[in-house]
Amino acid sequence: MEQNRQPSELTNRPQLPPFLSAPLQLVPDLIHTQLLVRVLNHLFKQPLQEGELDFLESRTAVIRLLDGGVEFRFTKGRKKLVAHSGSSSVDLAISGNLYDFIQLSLGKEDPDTLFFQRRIRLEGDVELGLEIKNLLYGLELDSLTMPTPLRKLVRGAVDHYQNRITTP
Amino acid sequence: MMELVCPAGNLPSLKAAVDQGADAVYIGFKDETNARNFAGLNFNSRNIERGIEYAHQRGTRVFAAINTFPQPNGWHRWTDAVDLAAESGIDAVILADLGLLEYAAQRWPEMNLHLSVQGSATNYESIDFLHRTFGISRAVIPRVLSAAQVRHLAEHSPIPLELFGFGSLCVMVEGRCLLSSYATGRSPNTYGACSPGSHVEWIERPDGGTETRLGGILVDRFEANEAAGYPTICKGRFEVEGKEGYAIEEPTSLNTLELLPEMMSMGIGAVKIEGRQRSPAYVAQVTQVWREAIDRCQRDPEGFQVEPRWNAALSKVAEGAQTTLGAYQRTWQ
Ligand code: SF4
Repeated sequence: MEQNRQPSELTNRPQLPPFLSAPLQLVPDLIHTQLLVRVLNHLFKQPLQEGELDFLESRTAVIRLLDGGVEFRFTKGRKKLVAHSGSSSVDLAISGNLYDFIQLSLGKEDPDTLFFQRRIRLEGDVELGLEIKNLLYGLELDSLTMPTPLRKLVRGAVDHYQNRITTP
Repeated sequence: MMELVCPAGNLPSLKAAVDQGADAVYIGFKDETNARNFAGLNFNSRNIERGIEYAHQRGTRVFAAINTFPQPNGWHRWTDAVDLAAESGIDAVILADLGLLEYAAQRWPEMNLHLSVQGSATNYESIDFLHRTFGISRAVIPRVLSAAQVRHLAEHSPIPLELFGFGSLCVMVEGRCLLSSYATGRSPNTYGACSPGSHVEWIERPDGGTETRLGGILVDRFEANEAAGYPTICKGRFEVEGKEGYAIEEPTSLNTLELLPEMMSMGIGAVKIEGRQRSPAYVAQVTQVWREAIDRCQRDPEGFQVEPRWNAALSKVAEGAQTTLGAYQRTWQ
């Protein structure tokens, strides 16, 4: 049996052009996080009410946008997700580039695929990571209350960007 | 007709599979009664009915995998799962344990029973026995047989066979393996996972590399530009007799697109796609490719050729970002 006994090499990791991700660095992390948390609370209204995010209680997750140079720390408070300001240790860190997070959040890419390709990295409590991953993908995007114009805009931007990187 | 059977770990994945033209979708429940027991994954009594309704309205069948082996202190959890599946109107249950097959055959005589890949039937005598004894109507075949062996099996089996077409592999005759019990104290065929999240550690190194540990045992170290795989012992790199490398199996996915005409000529009843732990995006991408390929091959088996873009799409989502023909290509027995 002829088989390649070395791991396959990875090439072509798309990134957003720096002029798109760079401005994020100008705003302090906590403000980003409060914004993100507000969006998440809006999106996850029902799962929050049904207690499906309780597993995050008293645990801190951090999302790191490597090319944006920012990170979002959050946890679950009594009723909803809250920004976590302290520098205490985190239970789970998910890091990757902005482009890949956009692909993930639109359901265009599979998290394990990005993980195999080393584009998304997971550190810390893996069980917590699986829980978050499966929660996100168990939600039905279309029934989420993201305003349609906003969703169209984001989708359009990603399609546009994808075309630019696949047709050199 | 060859059926396309696709995985769903949750409702959106089920919908993705149905929308992309799966003939059947298989699911599991939120506990150790199935072989993809991961936090936050799988169905409960609330959403299984919605899933079945969505599928049935569009002419797709739904199977429930209850394919781990019950332990003496948890028997009722497995029979409850069979009852829940039957009461929800499932089209078939996929079972491995003999006691559970007996229970399902007695309690739900009308229900379709499929033998799970975990049941590990590799000869037609055992398939014939299970067919006569419990009335199983399909058997999923372990991914350890060569194409010639599968053909022999198909020629003599009294019931249609289901073969794996794509996805991650298990090299130990489907979960009959002590590697993860050694590392984590949990066995894949009773707990339902060979890398329970609670035992996995990913450690980022300053040079961009990643270290994987399972139950504290170092499984692999990936350089920054190397593709990764699932954190199972069988896919780790170890030093054996002074040489470092994949000692058992490498991170790779099975991909049998090019064998489709041969599988059809054998009269294989269904092709199964692995991956209930993956997201709706994966399910949609893989289902789309296989639907197109099966339809093309059914129309014109002689002229069938694998489109490069199909393989590219499948390699992209593959574990370790590469694919293999696995045991099917073996010429030795
Ligand atoms: S550790 Fe590997 S060989 Fe063992 S059951 Fe899991 S996938 Fe199969």
